Amino acid sequence: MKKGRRKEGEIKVTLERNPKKMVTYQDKYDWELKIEAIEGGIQRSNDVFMYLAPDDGYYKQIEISYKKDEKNWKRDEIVHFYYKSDKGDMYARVTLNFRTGNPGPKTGMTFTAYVNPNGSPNLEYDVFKAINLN
Amino acid sequence: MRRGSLFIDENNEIRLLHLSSSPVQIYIHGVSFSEMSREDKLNKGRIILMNDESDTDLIEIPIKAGPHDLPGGRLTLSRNNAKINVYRDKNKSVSILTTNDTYTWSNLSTIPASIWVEGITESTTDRGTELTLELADINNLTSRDVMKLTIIAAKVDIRTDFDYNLNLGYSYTDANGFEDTVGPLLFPTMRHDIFAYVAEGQSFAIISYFSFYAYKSKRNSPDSSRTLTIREKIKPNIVSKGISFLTKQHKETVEERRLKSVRNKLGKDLDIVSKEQMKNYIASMNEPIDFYGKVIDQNNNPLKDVKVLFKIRKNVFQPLALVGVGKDFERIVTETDAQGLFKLESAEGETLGFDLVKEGFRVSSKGKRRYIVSGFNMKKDFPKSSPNKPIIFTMWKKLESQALIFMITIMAYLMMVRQLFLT
Repeated sequence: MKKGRRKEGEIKVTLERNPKKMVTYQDKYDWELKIEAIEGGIQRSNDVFMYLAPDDGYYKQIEISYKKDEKNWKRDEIVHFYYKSDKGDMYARVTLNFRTGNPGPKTGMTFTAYVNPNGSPNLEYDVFKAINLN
Repeated sequence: MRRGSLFIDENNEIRLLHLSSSPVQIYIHGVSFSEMSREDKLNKGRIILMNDESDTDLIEIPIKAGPHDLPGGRLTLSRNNAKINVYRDKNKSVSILTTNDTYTWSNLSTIPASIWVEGITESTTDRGTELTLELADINNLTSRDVMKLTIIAAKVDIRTDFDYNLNLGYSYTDANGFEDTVGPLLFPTMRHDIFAYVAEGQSFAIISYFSFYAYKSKRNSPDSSRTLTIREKIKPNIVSKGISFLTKQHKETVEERRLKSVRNKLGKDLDIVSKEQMKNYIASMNEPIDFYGKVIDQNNNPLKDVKVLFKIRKNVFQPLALVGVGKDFERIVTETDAQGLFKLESAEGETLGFDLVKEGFRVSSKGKRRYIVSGFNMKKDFPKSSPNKPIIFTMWKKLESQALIFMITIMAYLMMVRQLFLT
């Protein structure tokens, strides 16, 4: 998540849908989302304001799945979670917004993250203090 | 000193004509009835009520003219007929146009921000009265603005007789011989009363809270199966005296419904009502507001000195609003005490909203802080509260802001086939 820290990234996202190709947009289908921390851990959050990451309670992965016959089945999902690196030197709050309903094999995702690279769980953002990766 | 002229070239750029080696002084000035666009002033005009009920019931029209230091500047206000009088204030203490048809200000700094107009005689044609403002400079070059007026004799008539199922209001024959029906645009899912604010002498009258439309039809029967097409949003337009019903059946139905509904609502027949009655009726659309709240922080500790900014929306009488109902906003500021408590008592209105403000704290946008108090036109959602059972609101203390990396990425990728690494 920080430029140059890991070549292959810190978080891995896998999305599976069955069938991969649908006839119409109206179809229901099975789908499964897996978010994994390559190193460190992640923790799903329902906090109103995610400005302070917890010290513990992190897991290696989050899994979300829906079967097409489920009563509460839905097409899209927004996932909020905290990330903590394995050494505790980096915290982040992340929002992933998935859209799984495109009839074709491609779909969209929005990834939003606020990362504190200085080892503090404080995630209070100030646009005037933002670190520019470029 | 030489005079110069300004003109607009083919590229719509302003250019100066007659430049010479001598100094050229150019005066740019303008004048306006500033409340409407120039097109609306001429094409729609403005409705002026005849001032027959209250002697101070005048209509305010803002005016602008300047610059005030324009050399030789003179502003002239004129009328083309005596169907209106114009005063400097709403109490009619200073006359502008009463006995004479023109009035001139030689000192531009004494121009009032507004003039006050009263209707004297009802218009016989749309926009038949004109007010003209003309500003002249030292070279007698003039700026000019015109506003057209229609003077109506208005009496208020509360009606609650429109049938949602019939899609009908009133029918009448317009100046071109078309049989038109004027009625409310109906929203089946809305549960708001529809009533009319009828200006006597106009062919329109009506409506619901939101808007009204005219329907054109050759058929007169109030038949729910007929198809009506929306013609246009109706405009104030004097085409015939009064409102005529084309079928006796329709009239009886409407009249019966009106009487029944008014009696049910008010307990008496209010056929033609006075302005005071209309005001009282509209005031009854507001409801009392007593609200008790408590603010705590994210650790459940009471928060004191939180500023509470209340905003109350009220129904008020406005004669020129479509149905006589306007909205007014009352703002009240209070603070939480040492127990985090705050209250609003003995207020009244249609809706209540408020914001919570405290330095170093934030409040969630998810918490509901907007309520519908009056169920007159909308579904109430105003919560019950009392000093012993206040509504709880949570504010979160901000931490010291950090130097963070902010990333946002929008991407498309292949289902099933690829795993995505976020870097």
